Amino acid sequence: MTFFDSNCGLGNFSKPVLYTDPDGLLRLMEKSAIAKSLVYHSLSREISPVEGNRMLLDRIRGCDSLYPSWIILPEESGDIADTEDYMKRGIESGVSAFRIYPNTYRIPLGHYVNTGTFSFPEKKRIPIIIDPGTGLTWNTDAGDWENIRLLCERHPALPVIFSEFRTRYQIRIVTYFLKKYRNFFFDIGSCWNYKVVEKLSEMTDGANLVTGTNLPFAEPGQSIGMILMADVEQEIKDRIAHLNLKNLIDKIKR
Amino acid sequence: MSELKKRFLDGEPLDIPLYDIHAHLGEYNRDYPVFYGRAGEIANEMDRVGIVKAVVVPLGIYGTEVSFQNDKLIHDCKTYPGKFVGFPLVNLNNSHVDIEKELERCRKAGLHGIKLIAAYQNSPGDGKNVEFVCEYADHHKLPILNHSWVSTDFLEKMVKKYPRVEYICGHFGFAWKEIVNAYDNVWLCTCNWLAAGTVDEMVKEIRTDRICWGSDFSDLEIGFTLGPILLSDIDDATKKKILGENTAAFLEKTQGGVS
Repeated sequence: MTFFDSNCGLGNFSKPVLYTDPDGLLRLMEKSAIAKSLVYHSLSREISPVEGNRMLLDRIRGCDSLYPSWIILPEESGDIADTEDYMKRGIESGVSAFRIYPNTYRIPLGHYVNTGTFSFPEKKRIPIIIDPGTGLTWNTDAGDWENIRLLCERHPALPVIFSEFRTRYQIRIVTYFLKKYRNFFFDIGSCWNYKVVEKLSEMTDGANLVTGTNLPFAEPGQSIGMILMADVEQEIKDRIAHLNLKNLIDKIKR
Repeated sequence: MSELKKRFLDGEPLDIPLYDIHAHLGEYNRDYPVFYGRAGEIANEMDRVGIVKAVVVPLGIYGTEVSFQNDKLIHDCKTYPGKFVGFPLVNLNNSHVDIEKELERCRKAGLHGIKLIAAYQNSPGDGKNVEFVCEYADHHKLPILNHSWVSTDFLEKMVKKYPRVEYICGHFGFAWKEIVNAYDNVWLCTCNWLAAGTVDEMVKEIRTDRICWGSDFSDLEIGFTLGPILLSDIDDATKKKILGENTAAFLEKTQGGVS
């Protein structure tokens, strides 16, 4: 069984990590049964999306198992001259998802939604990954659910993947969103609660779940172990482990 | 590749006896819904995964209605004898009289151990009540599973003053390594969110006969805590110790047998 990791970084972070370059990541992936990873760059995550996104493409060029994802800022933020054109160029360069970190850049998710930032990604069917973590500390249960609701309703054709360091209490909200919104996806690596894989699989048939390891920070065996040990059919495990993310990426209108 | 890792990745049964040093029963929690959390469902899950026996404590750890929480635990342990080893919860905000009364009640009901979790009860983890519990445990030769001993200084003070207690550090951290390495009666549970590379480093720095896998069910997914050990580069003999043999030895020492 192999995995397609939806939540993986590379580069030099502000904290020392196990690897920084693609070779180190690829070795770790091989050891961990991860066939593909959707990666972002440390510079985008912690300081500068524009520089980090560019650096990411340079660094992973030629690595077929690494899929680039870009961190974006909203329309008219002052960082990017034309956000839509920027995203368009990203997709043409192979970018396979955009990421939003509202609490790192201290821009509320609602502002992204209300400035129309997601209209173009919706047209292109490219997944948006929302992570409320700051990356510096344990962040739990930090989802801005009213604005995720707004996003899912305003852009029903946009795949919205929610991912965070840890969803514990708010799994009670995630279960509702999985039932209510077909375009809502959940990174199961975010929730470590007992039997969560089984319960969410029962609710969704595994359709709206993806697996993120939170590399280079977390032991990948944690997320992978949850899927491998889960009491669900192999077909559902395959969906969660790699097929769902692959399908989302295959559907991007490039 | 390690045989255990191969079986894990292939989705095959591990085919080794697992012993779990840190788990919960109780069916309901403030923090999240407990899916498939009845004791019978959990016993079945243990069979499916291959867990022979688990040290279990109440899931409602905040101290509220502590006797009710312990009664549920006593009931589940009696309903599934041989499966669960119950450690009653102490509400560290209670008086010494009330703490002792509750521990006596649970001990006479057959529970042979104690669970502490001061941080979730807004109580000092190195306060007088914790020491009172250690003194009680020493008198009755009971093991204590503590969420956190707060500091190595405090833990070492307890270990020296109350040497007949078997001390379990409930969540993994390298901070405990010197105490674990130095004393035979200190055991380290693997359960925690683990940073990348932790397991390989853990066995280099800490004596491997005192590292014990804890699943933290029905709080955490069992695979979440098993995965890092099985996926690590450590040899199968060490994996077997961590996943079962060490806790079996702990139970032999503290409960008078594992069967």
